Amino acid sequence: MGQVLRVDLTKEKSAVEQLPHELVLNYLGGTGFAARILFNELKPGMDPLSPENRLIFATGPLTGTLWTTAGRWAAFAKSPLTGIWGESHSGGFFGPELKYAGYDMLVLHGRAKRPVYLWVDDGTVEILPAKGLWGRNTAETTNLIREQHGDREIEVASIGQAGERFVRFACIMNDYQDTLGRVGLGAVMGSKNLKAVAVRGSQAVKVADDDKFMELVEDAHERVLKQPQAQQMTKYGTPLLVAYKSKIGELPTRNHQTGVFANSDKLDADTIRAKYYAKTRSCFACRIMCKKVNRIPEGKYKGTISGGPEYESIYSLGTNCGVDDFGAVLRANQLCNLYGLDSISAGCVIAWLMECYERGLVTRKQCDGLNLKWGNHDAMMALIEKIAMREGIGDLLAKGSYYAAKSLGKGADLVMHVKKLEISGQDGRTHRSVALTHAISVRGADHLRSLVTVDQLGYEDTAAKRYGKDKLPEICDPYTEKYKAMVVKDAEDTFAIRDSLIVCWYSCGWPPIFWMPDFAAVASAATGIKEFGRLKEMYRIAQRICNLRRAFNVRERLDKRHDSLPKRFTHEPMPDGPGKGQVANLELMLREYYELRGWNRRGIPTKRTLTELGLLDVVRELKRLGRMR
Amino acid sequence: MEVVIKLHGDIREKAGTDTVKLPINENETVDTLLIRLSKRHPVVIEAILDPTTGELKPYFNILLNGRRIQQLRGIHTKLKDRDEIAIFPPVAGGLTDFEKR
Repeated sequence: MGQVLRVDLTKEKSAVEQLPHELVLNYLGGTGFAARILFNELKPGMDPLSPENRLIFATGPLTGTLWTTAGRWAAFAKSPLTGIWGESHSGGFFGPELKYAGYDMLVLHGRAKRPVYLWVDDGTVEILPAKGLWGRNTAETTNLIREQHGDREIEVASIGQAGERFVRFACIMNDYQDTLGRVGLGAVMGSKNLKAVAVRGSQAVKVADDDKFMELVEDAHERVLKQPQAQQMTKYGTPLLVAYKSKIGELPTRNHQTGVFANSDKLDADTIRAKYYAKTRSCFACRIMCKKVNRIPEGKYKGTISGGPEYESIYSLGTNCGVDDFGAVLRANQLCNLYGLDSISAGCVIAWLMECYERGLVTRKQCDGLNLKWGNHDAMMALIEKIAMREGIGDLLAKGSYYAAKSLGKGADLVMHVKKLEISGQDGRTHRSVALTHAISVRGADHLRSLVTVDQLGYEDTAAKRYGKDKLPEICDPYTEKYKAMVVKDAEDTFAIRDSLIVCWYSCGWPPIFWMPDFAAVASAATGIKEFGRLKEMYRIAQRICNLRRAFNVRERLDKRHDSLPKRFTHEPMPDGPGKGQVANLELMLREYYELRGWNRRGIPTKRTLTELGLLDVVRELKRLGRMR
Repeated sequence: MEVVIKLHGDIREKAGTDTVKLPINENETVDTLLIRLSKRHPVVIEAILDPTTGELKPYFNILLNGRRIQQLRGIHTKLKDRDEIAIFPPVAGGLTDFEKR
């Protein structure tokens, strides 16, 4: 392995490069590689939808091996939704197939003259016309490509109609139900006139130390099998979170107005399992097998059968829009997957418009005659289609809620976003560490880069082992800021390594199945690079990645002003539930977090921090741009 | 006086019910309530308590009106009329022994 496939769609040329050893040593894989490439190759201020943007499909050193929870891949680009660092991860089977074709990474440049798709068949790389594919949804595209090549084992990553129309939160789909959901990478793909990437590979993935690696593989599988937590996830999937979050009052409801949703039991895992469960799916080589397929047996959405929805879609298309009909949520999620829309942003932008409507800021006429009262799932379905096709009011919403409010000239205070990314299904008022996570996340209001649930789930004994007994009880208290900067930074460092290996979040939720020492051991065995086996070196790599990604955003003129939260979280106390009266106090956590990171009070990495991490070129670049003295 | 006990996940399946209502006495606490619950639904207690120590199994959670009982007075937390107890199996994560690794 160790190869990068570069494809210039403008020149219709491809080239294979060897992965530079220095890049591997300093950045490990996945998000680390992408940070270096995007920082080096993109000019600050460039338009994310221009041909100059890079779209990187990356695997990690474990992808395609038997190490459980590592059958994933990720894509990276400058985001057209946020204008900053863009990163999105997916399960499924595409990542391993790309590796079997011989590539650790695919870097796409330029823009094709007309719609095309990329066909990668081991050493063969072809740019083929997307005739008959353009205008199709993601499932049809996958099926047609497999039929054209006469091979049902081909893995396809494609956009739907939303990506073709540059909807700012268009996603990239693979395996029908696996999603590179967030930050609009589907629009980047659309801007390159690239409908799909189809891959077939037949090569083996070699590891450096077979015996040690297989020992770790067996240990990893055994640990997953033994864990009661993983067993619950296998049985119920992420909807298991719905009931818990409802009880603690952190189930975002009606555009995050509250964390209490009256009919949450209609959408929780117990109900879904009993009434709608059809089958379980797995990503490549995963023992957790959290993915579920559900079927609606009766009612308006009778006959709908689809993968998901995950917890986040139940929140965004369900509780956040006031919808308590599971059939509607499943169907809405399916539509998002088919059109190629991020279900979180889609649900959130609709929830924002619903609140504007309920407050009289927009009229029914402005909303194409739709009655946007809370819970009207007919209107929600119509809006999803309008957004994907950019029709009527959907053209406004396709910009994302931040720019939609700007264009409308109303409702800006009601936009639930950080750095223009719609907020994921948590609430910093009643889960204080996530207030910081949302505020500082490199891609905007995101939970996945540093989500900590020690203050939500507790488990005091384990918390004491990890963080010290002296940090109790505050570290397990969701209503205090104390120690939260420390735990968020700890998670962000570990997750930077996780996202470089490209391992699933559910391997290191709280309490984690795998943590940094496990990642160090397996990375070393897989690559044969002894430095990866040293914890100190792994933390250094993690910090290098976190700082370089931050520098990418600083170069785009971001600083502390953007590490903020929606006013609702900081000024509107939680109105009801167990956390009634709580608000998020960000300032103290931010100050502590910057200090721990070695950043100045404006949230900019210092010269000393960057120099210690060997990022001298970043110092020079930030100085050149006047972002550092 | 009465409390409502909501069961979730595997615990609900094992008990065959989602809700148990139990009368409570003056000065009733979580631990005495669990003992009385064990008489009516022994399967629930088998699922959540360690048989040798009698302690709550790792990573199971008991919430009282949405707060983890560890944030209150643990199993000695006093109950009052119309309180809601929710019992959850582990909902995320796994188990890493940070001391050994």
